[in-house]
Amino acid sequence: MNTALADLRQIVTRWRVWFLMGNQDIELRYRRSFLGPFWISIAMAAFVGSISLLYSGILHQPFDQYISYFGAGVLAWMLIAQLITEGCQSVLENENNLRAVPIPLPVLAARVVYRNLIIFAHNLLVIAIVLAIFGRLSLLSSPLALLGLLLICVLGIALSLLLGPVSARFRDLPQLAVTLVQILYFLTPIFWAPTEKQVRSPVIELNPLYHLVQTVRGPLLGQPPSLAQWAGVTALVFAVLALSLVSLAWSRRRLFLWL
Amino acid sequence: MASVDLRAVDFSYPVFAVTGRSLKVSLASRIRAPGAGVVHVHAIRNLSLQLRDGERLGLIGRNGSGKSTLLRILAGLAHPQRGMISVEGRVVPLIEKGLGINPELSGEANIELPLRLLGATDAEIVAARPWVEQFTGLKDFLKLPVRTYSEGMKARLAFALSTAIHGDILILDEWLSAGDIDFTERAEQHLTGMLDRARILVLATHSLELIRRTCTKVAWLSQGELVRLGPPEEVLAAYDASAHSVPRAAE
Repeated sequence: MNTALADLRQIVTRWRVWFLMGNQDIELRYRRSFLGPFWISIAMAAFVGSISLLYSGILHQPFDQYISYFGAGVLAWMLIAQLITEGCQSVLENENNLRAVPIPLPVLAARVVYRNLIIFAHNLLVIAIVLAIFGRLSLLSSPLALLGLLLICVLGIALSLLLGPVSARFRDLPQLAVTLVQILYFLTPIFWAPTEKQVRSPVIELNPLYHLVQTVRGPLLGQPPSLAQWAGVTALVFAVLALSLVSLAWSRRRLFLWL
Repeated sequence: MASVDLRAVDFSYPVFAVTGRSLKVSLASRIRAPGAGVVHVHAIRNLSLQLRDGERLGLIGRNGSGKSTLLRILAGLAHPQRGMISVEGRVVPLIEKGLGINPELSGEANIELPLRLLGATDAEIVAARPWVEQFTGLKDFLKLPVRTYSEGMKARLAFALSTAIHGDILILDEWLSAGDIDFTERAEQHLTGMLDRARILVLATHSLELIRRTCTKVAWLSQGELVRLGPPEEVLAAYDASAHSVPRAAE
């Protein structure tokens, strides 16, 4: 367990490694498009705009209300979803390097989180503008979204530590995760808003991703989560982190066998 | 002071059949026949070894005798199931060529990450940049993506990056090749200088000539076991003798 904690500290001491890798990831993904990483923002604007046009009509909701709700929600969702699916790749995408030099897994987890934070920032830019245009951006409670973001990042580290090694051992886990995340996208209130009564149904109440999304979406829209909701999400995130450290203590010695 | 201590080390690794790689299949077969789709290979058996400052160990043995596995144990990559290991000093493992080099990025952009992965400090990076540029002689090519390089140019860059930082304990899988002929001499010189600075060298190779030239100690491995450990002339003589006495068919 001490070795796992020592590995975790390497996020701080070897920050240059994940920082460099994350920057390279972004550069390589978007260098061929002439807008560079701002292509992420354009894609987000097009996606949110078109879905909102369609669904505000289908669901008979005012466009400005729908696009604000959907935009803020999908902003958080995309980050969480990517952290799950890319968390599965945290070891596999470094397979060649890990055969040659020892790299602590938390450093590789930090790479996944960092690169997705950069993407999040580009998406946030668009959503903030959309919310501002429709007068729905709450300046008072928005800073609280940073707390939600922090919790999601801690969860992202934990998920990479858990899923990365297991995905190296069982190569079909990443596909499984992608399928699961797709299903969760429809089960979690992102592009549909539940009524007061529906929120209390177990399908939503017991869906941790709903509460996690709320920690970012709620503050942005001026409806910050209740104290109980914050406490619940924080407890959940740190429980997963604790679990991931136990898993790391176990997997760090075996990882090489699975590459 | 650098030192390496291995006591009674045992290491085996699983080789997975395709079905052993699948979570779905594994969960299903766990119920029927546990351990299906996995074969274990015993790569290192009960191996003990001590190295002190100034020692240069050569590893010899046939393919699959455990040389590479032993290097990976010393590099801290493979964790043995049994036995004790203690390694003191900074280990620089030069096991895979082209570590951390991304062919899509320019030569220049490919300097920092490989060195960081090997554990370079900020000061070493600063010192290595101009050195790599000058040593490889790649000039304007450093601004171009590595995928546009010729094999020789790639080898030069990889060589320079592998030898840009110094370690107490150097782990080498085969001699570092240096690319084009006109570059070889400079590279050999540099490599020799680097080895002189390292306190401990562990080198796995098939070239007995190289071992004779470089090493102060030789370990002969066969099927994961240490057959003999001692001064080069003694072990190499015994190795030669056995290689000639074994009928070809046994290979």
